[in-house]
Amino acid sequence: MSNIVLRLENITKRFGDLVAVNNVSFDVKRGEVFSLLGPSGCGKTTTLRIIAGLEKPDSGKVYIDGEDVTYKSSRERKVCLVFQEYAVFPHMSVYDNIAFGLRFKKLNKEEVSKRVREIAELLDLDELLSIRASKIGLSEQQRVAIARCLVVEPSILLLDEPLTLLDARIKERMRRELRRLQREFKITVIYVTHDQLEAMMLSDRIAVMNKGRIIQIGSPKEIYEKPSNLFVATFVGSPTINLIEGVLRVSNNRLMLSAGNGDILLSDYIEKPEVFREIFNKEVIIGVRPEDIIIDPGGLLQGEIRYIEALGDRMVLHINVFKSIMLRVLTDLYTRVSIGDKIRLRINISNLHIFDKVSGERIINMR
Amino acid sequence: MQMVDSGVFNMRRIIINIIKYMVILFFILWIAIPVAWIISLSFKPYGEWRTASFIPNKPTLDNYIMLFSPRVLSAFIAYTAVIEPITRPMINSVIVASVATLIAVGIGFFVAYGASRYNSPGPFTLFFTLLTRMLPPATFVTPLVVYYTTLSLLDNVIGLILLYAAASVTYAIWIIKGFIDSIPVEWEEVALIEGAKPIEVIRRVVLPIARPGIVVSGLFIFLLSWTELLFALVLTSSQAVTLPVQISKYVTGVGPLYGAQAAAALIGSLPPVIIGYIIQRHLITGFTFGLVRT
Amino acid sequence: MPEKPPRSIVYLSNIPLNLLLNGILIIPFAVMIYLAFVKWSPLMGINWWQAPFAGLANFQRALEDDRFIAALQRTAVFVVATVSIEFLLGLLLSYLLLGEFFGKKIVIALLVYPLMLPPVVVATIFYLFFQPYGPVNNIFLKFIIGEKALDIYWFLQPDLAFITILLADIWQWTPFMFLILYSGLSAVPKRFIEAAEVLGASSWYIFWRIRLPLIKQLVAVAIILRALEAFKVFDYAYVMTGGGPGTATETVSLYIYRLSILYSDISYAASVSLIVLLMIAIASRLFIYFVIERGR
Repeated sequence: MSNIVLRLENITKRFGDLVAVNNVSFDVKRGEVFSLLGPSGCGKTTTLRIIAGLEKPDSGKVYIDGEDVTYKSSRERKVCLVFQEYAVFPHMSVYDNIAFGLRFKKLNKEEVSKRVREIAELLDLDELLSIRASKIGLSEQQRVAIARCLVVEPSILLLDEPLTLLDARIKERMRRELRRLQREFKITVIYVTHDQLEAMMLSDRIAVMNKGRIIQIGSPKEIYEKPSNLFVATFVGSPTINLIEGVLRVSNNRLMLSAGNGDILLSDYIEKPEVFREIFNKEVIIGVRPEDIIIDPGGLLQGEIRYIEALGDRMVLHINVFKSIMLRVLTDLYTRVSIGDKIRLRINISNLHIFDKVSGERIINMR
Repeated sequence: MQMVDSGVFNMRRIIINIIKYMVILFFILWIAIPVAWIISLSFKPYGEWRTASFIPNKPTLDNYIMLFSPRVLSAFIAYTAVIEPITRPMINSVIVASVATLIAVGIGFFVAYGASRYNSPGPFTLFFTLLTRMLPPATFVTPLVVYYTTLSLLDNVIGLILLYAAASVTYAIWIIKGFIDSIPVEWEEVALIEGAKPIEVIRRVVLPIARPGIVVSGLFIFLLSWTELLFALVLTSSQAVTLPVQISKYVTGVGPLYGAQAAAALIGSLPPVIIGYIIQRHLITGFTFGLVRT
Repeated sequence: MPEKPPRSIVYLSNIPLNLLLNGILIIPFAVMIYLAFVKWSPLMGINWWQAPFAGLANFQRALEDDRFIAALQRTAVFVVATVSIEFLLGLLLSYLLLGEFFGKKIVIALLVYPLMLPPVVVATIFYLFFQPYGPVNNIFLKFIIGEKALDIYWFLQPDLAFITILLADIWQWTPFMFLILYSGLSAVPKRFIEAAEVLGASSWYIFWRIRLPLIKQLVAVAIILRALEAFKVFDYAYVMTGGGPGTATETVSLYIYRLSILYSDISYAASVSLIVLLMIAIASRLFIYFVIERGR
């Protein structure tokens, strides 16, 4: 148990008729960065607040450091929460803000001062200590909010969408800062966000949530390469995964997808066709990530470029294959193509994702 | 909902709660006792008005009947003037107080907003509006009467409405401004940059947060207008008589009709009570965004 | 915010206000000022606009008027006492009522009830309350100190009379303070409260160090508004004590009222009113400066 710093068991929380958190359970290991990722309203913030002690669950249990804290108030838990809007106390100085939590710990003045100044220096706030918190900028306020938490040495640091309010350049920097702080303090972090890129870059493990439920828990690699259902596959990954409906068939070791308008030849040689036996003639949805479609003059698929999107150091080609099917293909900037070009594509089948059409659940993963 | 510290047998918490509720109870009694006495007074017959008891010996509805029936009333009044039933003054009070409140709050809101965000009107004007509440009313009355005579606003609800609105608009301005000042300017600036017109900005950003201020000042102004006596007494005679004036008329050659006054005051306090109860929920905006789902 | 306000805001925030105040209040006020500088009384038999000019005579008389000065002092003491007590009680009530509990809405409705009664009525009730035959003597005090209670004549002793009007004012106006403080305190954004909670603060600490400081401006507004009203106190003194015994509870408003109505000394009354106005204006200006503007 000493490795597990937080355990949630069957947590459910309702607001009126809405079930915000629906039977959520997971463990968080000491020292890891654990993210709750999902769209707005999926219950991630409510779950965080339940961990913090600001909401009481309707059922289920919360264990922190092995102790059942379900009914304990937030001041009795060794956690600290950095709010989305930082909630820095505007009428107090930066120093008083950071020192706030220490005043309840029966430390003498010198000790408090020492700790506050240490943290302030680490977070580049030492010049601002005597300034009123309402007068500093947003990213400084965020650092104050974080410092305020770090200084009380909580078992778990809870962050509620900390980067949402910052602009892009600062976001970049703060991501690195957060990672650095986390490694330095070896502190367990639970991180709530709707930005999948953020979650992927910062986390050791991610819990993807939707409509109050946990859909999948795994490392960023696992979530990305083995999404357990359609929701996770489409939510994670940018540009969004390509999805095609149809029925898979194998004949002569050739893999084909019968999709409405006709047959798409996915591969002309499959080593082990038996793998597909259980889904023969079943209605499925195929998922192919844009980076798994490659421009290849010898490829099996042919299509016409309808639209080109420039994304910084890459391009996304929107290619029409087969009457109504549009595929997004990722490529680098050096590829010379223009709209209207006819182009041949090859699909990397080892990264093919197959989902059941009705349930959205993953059927086979090609790995 | 509030999380409380855990521990079933937390003695300290129990004692604190007991003290807390006892103090609340004390305040309830502090308010309720005189109110109970007014209620009992309203049911006491003439002979018992000057007694200490909280329960009338011979309870009667006479005082209430008196309010609505001039004939019963004139039996008490030594002079021949027949006092009207209380219905008209009640209606007048409702009209005067509501309209005056709407005008005062409507005007006051925009003044508060302009003053808070753009210094328009400036601090001098703001202070100047406070002057309206600093003047002892007694000597203002005579010039006002003369002025109103020339404007034909005597004994006219409009005259009262305008006076009350003018006299209490400063309440609205100062209270609402207090709330608007506490809203970070950045929110409105962002909205303006996004292309919203100033009026929209007010509606979407400012109004929700200033709402308690609007409601509180509105309530006070309504109450001020509802209970005002001096100017109403002087400026009205028959048509526009308001409730407090009517109450003051329940006086005979041998002294005030305490029972009738009590009954009238109780009935007269009902509309404000109802309004106050209805708007109570607007007095509180402690919720942060998105964390309370309905 | 942009330096120059948009046209619509300028119009909306200035024109209606000016129309209202200038249309209704300026002219009578100007007449009042005029009256203060002339010598006029309806008993003189001439029209008010024909009154002889008197310069500063009225004002000089006021400054040497012992009765006026006594009334001023008395009223000042009254204001300080009532406003501070009402503020503290209002604060206490707000603190107690911050959390949810069963029947809270009813409790608040009851606590606020005194504001719904005309001050004259409250004055009348308290008048009856403190009569020798009233419940204060016959029920409450009798319970505490026995038969001796019946010998207390509230309105015949200056100190006791003063206390009665204090109590009437406190009873009626504490809810005012309570309402403003309560709505301000509960409007403090929840995230500040929660942030403090998570960091270990008790609700008592949060009340004093987080909620209250954040509504400092509102508190100042509440105090000044209440103080302005308290200074004009009239109804309680008029109905309950008649300013007595003697002039022991004669407030400034009562004195001015008597000058106008009883003695028909209108111009003098006007000048006294203006002096009072000036004094209050200066006092509040100073208050606003020190408390509100410095606190920004």
